[in-house]
Amino acid sequence: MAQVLSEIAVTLRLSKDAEMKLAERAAATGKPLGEYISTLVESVVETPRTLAEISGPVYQRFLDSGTTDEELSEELEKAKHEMRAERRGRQAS
Amino acid sequence: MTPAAPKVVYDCNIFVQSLINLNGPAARCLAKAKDGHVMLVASAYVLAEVREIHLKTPAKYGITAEQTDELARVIASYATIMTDVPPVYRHAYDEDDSHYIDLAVKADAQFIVSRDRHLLMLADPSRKEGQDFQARFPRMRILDPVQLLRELEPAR
Repeated sequence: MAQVLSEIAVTLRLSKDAEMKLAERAAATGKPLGEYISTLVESVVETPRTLAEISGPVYQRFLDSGTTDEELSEELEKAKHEMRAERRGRQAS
Repeated sequence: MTPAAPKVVYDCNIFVQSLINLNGPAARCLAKAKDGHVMLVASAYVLAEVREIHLKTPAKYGITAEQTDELARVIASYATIMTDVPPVYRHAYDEDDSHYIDLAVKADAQFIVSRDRHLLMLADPSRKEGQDFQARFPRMRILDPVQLLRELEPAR
């Protein structure tokens, strides 16, 4: 049986930056903006998945890699600083 | 939530580390927040960092945008999300860390939890930055995940 969908009219007040990112994410999924936002809202009101469910195979990959938790911290700190440097570059251009 | 649950701010990497090592100290810190032993405070800035970091995490873990998006949604489901966080502090070595201090000030958080050496240096009383920080924010402590767990689970 087809799921019955309700239509709710709302007005979103977003920063220009958030509006742009939202449009980019919707475009990346190939969905119209309204449909993408509906997906986001549905996911928020659903029961959140556990960390293990979200992680899926990632945890096993970590175990298989032989990386220690300390080494993982170092890798993630490096990743964070690279991400921030790239963000600063985008903001400056 | 226990009545005396301290307010905490977690560095974005605490969340991401929880996703990769489900049994590490960072994951235990996140469980403390989920179970109400601490009151987690976050912001759009922190959640954006959680969402974006998959672009730079080592490929060997295969973390996807969908996973960090969902992680951010889960965090938002049990964190208090602060808006309009005014800049009150500027980190001398890493300006991008300043928001975490600003967020903790706005929330009146007791702990900031991080493995970032630039944040942790502010907890070092032997350093000038640490002395200045502690004089300015005497009620705030910056800890790594293991130190937070020791605070919350004192030796029996």
